[in-house]
Amino acid sequence: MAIAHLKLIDWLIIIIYFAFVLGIGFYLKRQTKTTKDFFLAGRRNSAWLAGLAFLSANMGALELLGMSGQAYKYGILTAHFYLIGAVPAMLFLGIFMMPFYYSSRIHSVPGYLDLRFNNQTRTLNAIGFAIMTLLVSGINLYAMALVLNAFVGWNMNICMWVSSATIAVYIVLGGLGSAIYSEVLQFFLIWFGLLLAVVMGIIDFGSWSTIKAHLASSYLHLWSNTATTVSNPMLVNWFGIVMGLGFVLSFGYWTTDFLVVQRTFSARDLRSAQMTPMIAAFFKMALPFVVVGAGLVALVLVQTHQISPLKKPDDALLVLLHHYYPAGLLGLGVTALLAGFMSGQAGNVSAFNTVFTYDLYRHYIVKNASDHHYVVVGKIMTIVGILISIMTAYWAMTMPSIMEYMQALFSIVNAPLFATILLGMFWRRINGTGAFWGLLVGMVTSAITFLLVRYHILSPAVVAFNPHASPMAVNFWRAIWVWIITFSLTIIISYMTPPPEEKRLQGLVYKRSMMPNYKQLAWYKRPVIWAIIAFIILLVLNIIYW
Amino acid sequence: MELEQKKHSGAMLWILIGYILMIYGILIFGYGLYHLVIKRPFHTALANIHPDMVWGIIMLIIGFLFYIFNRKHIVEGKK
Repeated sequence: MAIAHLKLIDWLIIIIYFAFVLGIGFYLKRQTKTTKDFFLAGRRNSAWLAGLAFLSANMGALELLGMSGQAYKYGILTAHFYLIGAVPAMLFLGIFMMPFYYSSRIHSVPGYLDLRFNNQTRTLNAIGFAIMTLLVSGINLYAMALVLNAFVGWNMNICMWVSSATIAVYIVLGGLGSAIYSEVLQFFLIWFGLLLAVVMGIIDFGSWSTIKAHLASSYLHLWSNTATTVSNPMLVNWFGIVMGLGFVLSFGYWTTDFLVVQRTFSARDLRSAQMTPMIAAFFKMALPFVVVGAGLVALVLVQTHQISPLKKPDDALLVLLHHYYPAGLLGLGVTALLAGFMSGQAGNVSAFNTVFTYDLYRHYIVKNASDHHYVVVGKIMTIVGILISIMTAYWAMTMPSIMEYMQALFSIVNAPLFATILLGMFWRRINGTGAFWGLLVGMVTSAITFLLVRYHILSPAVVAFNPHASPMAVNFWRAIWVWIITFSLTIIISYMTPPPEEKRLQGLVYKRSMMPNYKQLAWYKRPVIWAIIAFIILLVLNIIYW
Repeated sequence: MELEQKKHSGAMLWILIGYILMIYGILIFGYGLYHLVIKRPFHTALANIHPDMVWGIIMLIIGFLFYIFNRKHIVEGKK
């Protein structure tokens, strides 16, 4: 891939971005005094603000580059990650789970596990989440340096240290509020910085239909070629997509991963918190236009010999920026990627400092200190988290295969956790002993299975019923198995041990009467109406691209 | 009162986004115009349709709308 050369105007645009995010930190510093301010952004955010941050926390540059690369390889099938692989889980979170999360006034997802089950379950999840978050943050940082080094020739060390120092400053100053504000800013930069590349591609070829005409049929369908594992380029059948991606991985991520769920906690009231994932769901369904569109336009550009074949699929989006963006716009595109990388790291670090301070430090080290003390600890842990991320990035530099492990991390931590939380919220008989052992065995099973398949000790056929299953198919199937193991074991152990005390379950387990009733509000203010509209759009999109 | 303060805080972000879109819009449009005036074309695909100038104007307008629609919350918050 040719290196793009930045001009003075591009640098100016990048510098303005840095000035704005630092400015946000200094602006929020005045409002960030208590733990509620620092760790929950004061619980003052509107549904729109929290909703865009909720989506942006997941919309990092690594994800955008990776998914446009997947679209280049697999076509429209990639859109499953934005449709069935996200929307149903987001709607479920908003309608059914948010009343428990928000009303219990917890600061973190492990906090819910403590209230509902016991401290061991909370600690197990907190440690797993803290490790996962810092690893992901470090790998994200390494990926940023790698991409920007290859694309615009930046020095990797300077790139990592400058971006990390900027993040450290604005998170220490404004806490979660800074992370959320920078994520919302990132949302707009990504749309304005990357959407034009796809629009230019469409203008270049005359229409979307012309682009589709250049592509094989297998690249243009969501479901019609998923009857068997060999009938589509992703080598995954419909059951793997529905159960692995659409159910376990998606629900595991969107409903239990504290990085995204933390954004809903910052909403100003329960209705806003419920609306947060609804708003995000609409934009999530629009994202394939940029991400999948970029991959397909790049593919057609290669097929029509307008650009040389990509060295690796993940370059698809970068190639489009280089091909279509003149100076000025190129700076905007690079800023969008930079914002995506930086706010991704900021999101991870702000989630880490909360889980560490509330679920580990406050519980095991200093129990009854002042509010100010915990804010200081949160700030210190922000810097520690950033430094560990940098160390992880250098570690990844010496061992690039670490990138492969990132995919597995989510199925190790989130897939079993979804079974635990689902049972906890909807089944009163489930107790702490069952939850702890179910979660532990689920996490260990997932990690061991991943390593056995990775080092060819176990055939992919054992996990995914196909000796030639793609890593993605194995990932989907591993998540399904781990979820089933955690789910079953939690129930069995719970029934073998005494039931939980009834008073412990108040407000933490589903009761129909607990669901908020918004009958007094106009229809357009009710979360359930927006959930129905989002679901209908999801169905329509699936039918159009069946 | 508390709700107004919350609205004020959120509106500040939308105004900031309005500012950054306007600044970027002006810079990108201005640089495209400069290239057009000095008759030094860009060497990227479809440079002839001046995507920088078109996109710069769009960003400027949207940024301005963000500013206008959220300004009243800031004024109310200050009162």
